[in-house]
Amino acid sequence: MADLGRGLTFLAFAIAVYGVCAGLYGGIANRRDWVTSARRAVYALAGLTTGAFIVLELAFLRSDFSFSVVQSHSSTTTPTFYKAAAAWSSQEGSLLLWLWLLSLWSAIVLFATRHRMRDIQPYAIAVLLGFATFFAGLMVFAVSPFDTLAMAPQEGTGLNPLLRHPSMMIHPPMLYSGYTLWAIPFAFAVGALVVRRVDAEWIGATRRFALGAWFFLGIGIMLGARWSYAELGWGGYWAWDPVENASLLPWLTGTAFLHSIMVQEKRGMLKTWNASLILATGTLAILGTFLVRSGILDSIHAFGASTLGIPFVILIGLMILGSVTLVVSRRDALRSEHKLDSLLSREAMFLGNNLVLVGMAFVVFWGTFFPLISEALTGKKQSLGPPWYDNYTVPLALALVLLSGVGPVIAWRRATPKNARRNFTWPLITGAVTLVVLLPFGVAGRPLALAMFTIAAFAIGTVTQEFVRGVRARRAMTGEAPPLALLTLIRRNRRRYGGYTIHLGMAVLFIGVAASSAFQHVKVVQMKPGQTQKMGNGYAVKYERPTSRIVVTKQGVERLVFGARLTLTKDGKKIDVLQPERGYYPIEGAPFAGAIGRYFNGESTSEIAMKAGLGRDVWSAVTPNLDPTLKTVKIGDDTFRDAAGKLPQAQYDQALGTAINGLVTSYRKNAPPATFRLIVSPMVTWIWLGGLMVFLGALICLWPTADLARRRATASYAARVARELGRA
Amino acid sequence: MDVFAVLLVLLAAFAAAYVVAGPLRRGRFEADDQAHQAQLADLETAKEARYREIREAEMDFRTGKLSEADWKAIDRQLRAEAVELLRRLDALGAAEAQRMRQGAEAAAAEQATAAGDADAAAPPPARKPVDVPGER
Repeated sequence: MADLGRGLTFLAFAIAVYGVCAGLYGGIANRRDWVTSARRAVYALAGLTTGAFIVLELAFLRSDFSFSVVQSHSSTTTPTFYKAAAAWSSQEGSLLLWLWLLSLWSAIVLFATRHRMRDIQPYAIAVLLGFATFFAGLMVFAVSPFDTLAMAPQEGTGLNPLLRHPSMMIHPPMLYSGYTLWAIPFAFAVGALVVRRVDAEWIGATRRFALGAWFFLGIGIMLGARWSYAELGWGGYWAWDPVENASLLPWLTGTAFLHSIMVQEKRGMLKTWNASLILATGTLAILGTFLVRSGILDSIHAFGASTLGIPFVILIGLMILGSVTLVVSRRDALRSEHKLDSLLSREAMFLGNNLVLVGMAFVVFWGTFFPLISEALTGKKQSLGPPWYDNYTVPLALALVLLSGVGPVIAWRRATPKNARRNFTWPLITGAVTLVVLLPFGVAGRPLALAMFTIAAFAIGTVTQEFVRGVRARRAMTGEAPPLALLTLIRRNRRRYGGYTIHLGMAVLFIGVAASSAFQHVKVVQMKPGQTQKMGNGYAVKYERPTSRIVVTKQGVERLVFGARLTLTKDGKKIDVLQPERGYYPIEGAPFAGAIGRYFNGESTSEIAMKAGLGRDVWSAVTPNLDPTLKTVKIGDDTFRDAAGKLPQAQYDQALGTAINGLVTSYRKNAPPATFRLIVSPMVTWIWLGGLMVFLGALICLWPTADLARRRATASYAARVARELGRA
Repeated sequence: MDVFAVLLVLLAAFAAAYVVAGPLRRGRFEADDQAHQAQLADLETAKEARYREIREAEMDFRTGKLSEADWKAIDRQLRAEAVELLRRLDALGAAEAQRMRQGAEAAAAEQATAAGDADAAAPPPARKPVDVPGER
């Protein structure tokens, strides 16, 4: 099987190299047959990488420990669900995932646009296959997922327990889909610049894929945030961690790009800006991939250090150099067709939104790379924490939400006073009423949060007003009933109303972020069973009793779990029971850790307990004090070391089982005080709801229109008739 | 070395080579045909984009974001661009029909010459008119 995987990877590399050469030759010599051959190389690449990925997945699912990567990232005790996901927890597997997704997306895009932009396509294909060459080359010459061990061990070291979370099945493929999809508009932008065809054509053709990239990357970021909130045991959803930031960077510049291309499509302006933005976004997507795997920056998400730093730095360097050269050498062709008529216009708002988004991206970039910058300048690695990020991102976020409210309703070219009055009166009233209503609730003490609530209410007001006016206009034209008019309105103007839904979702999301950041109560306390702790907002928890259990799967003991049963009360009334736990996973294949000690010396994960609601989340995590237990463990390890080989295996296993069971039970009977992290956080659910609205809006934008499908079919039939007539 | 794996890799290599070499084996006509399809698709896309912009400008006007004068000016310009695109689409259809007719005549003449028919130099028998998209 490993030979098959290696062979397919090598073929993928060879075909990618061929495709780059065929595409470039076809473009330069204007030979369509060579360009078509290069495009087919992409289809073949998709087939080959699919085969290679299946081989790797099968190795994981069959626990084939002759594969080095399976041995180091899975075990027989890893649940099947997670064995499938373990493939991309490794560096080698994630490189293959990247290549596979890139080839699939590229094949889909090139098939969909096979009859369009024939001058741009050869270079776009060459760029896409250039990326494929790089990743396939890494797997052929540097880190192969199909490396084998001379002797296949009986057991693997297992999957990092932190990754055993359902969202981890989806999170990496979503992020990587986002990263790889950004390569597509990047490649077409390069093609358009090479042939100097910098009108809105390439934008129109790749806009849907840019939106797809934004959509998938956004889902990946949200799933990561949710995972962080539910799995990492610190109670937050965003830590400004380098790997989180790495995914946010292309998302921010990509968001700017998706807005500014509308100005180019409508007014022929911002061509240089758009080209630069998408080239930067493509480069940041590669940088994001690099940061996830490289380990050059300390991160809670860096699950392995990489040896691939130099090739990635060379690739990123080439991308930056090539992008700058292309934009500078094409500056004449990129000149705007129109000038900005007024600062009070839709174009100006888009420009403002772009400056804010790029400003945010710059802040995030600076903060992320500051440890490297400081080390290079002073020799000392210094990190910037969340307060530093908040200083800059909070005002920028306020401006962004404000602009997201103003943008949809302001006129193109120039807003007149009459026009402004008509469009802003009700939204301004909505914002003002929100401000006044919130003041008595003690929100004034947090002026930035209050400003966010007010501005978000204004933005929700403008978007709602747009929906109402659209329905009215539709009803005036067709006489449809309001619900039908709303549906038809959205169906016939998917870009516009999908976009508005996204703005609505972002406003809701930012309300959640502002509320949960400004009004959170966090307590880290030690409690003995029977003790009660107040949490703020009238909430209190009582540590009823310790809990412990052994989680056994078909393959054996998966983990030992120690936790607590807490009673949650609000104003003295019991409202729920919370059971936070901490799971201890055994080290696989490490006899030196001790027969019992291996259950305590491996990875441990926090299983948080939470009562979530629209108004508030009450969140709890526990760190049990296992010091007394560990003393007993040491004695047990010594005893079992002496007994090894002296007792029959069955008797030894039985005694070991009894000992572990006894330890777990004794914790329950006589637990020392445990440490609890207790958080009352308002409106966190709004963040997830806002995220869902954003993705619903993106889906509305992405959904293909019936017209498009019909047009494609018509063009395809027409071409077929023409071809058959030509052969007759 | 797993023989079965080697065979599978060789099979994959052969299939990939067959797929990518396909366009190089086919003649130039295929390429010309693709060029026509590409032009047609580009113009169709541009036309759809103009239609979309016309609809959006109207919606902007109806929801109060464009004055009537601005809307009419934009609408006039976009409609003129759409008309120009329709003309180019028609012209492309007519040119393609002409090209195909010439191709068919040349092929028939070539066949007749090859058969050694003395009357082959005469024009081929009239064919049933073909409804080519865009041809008027």
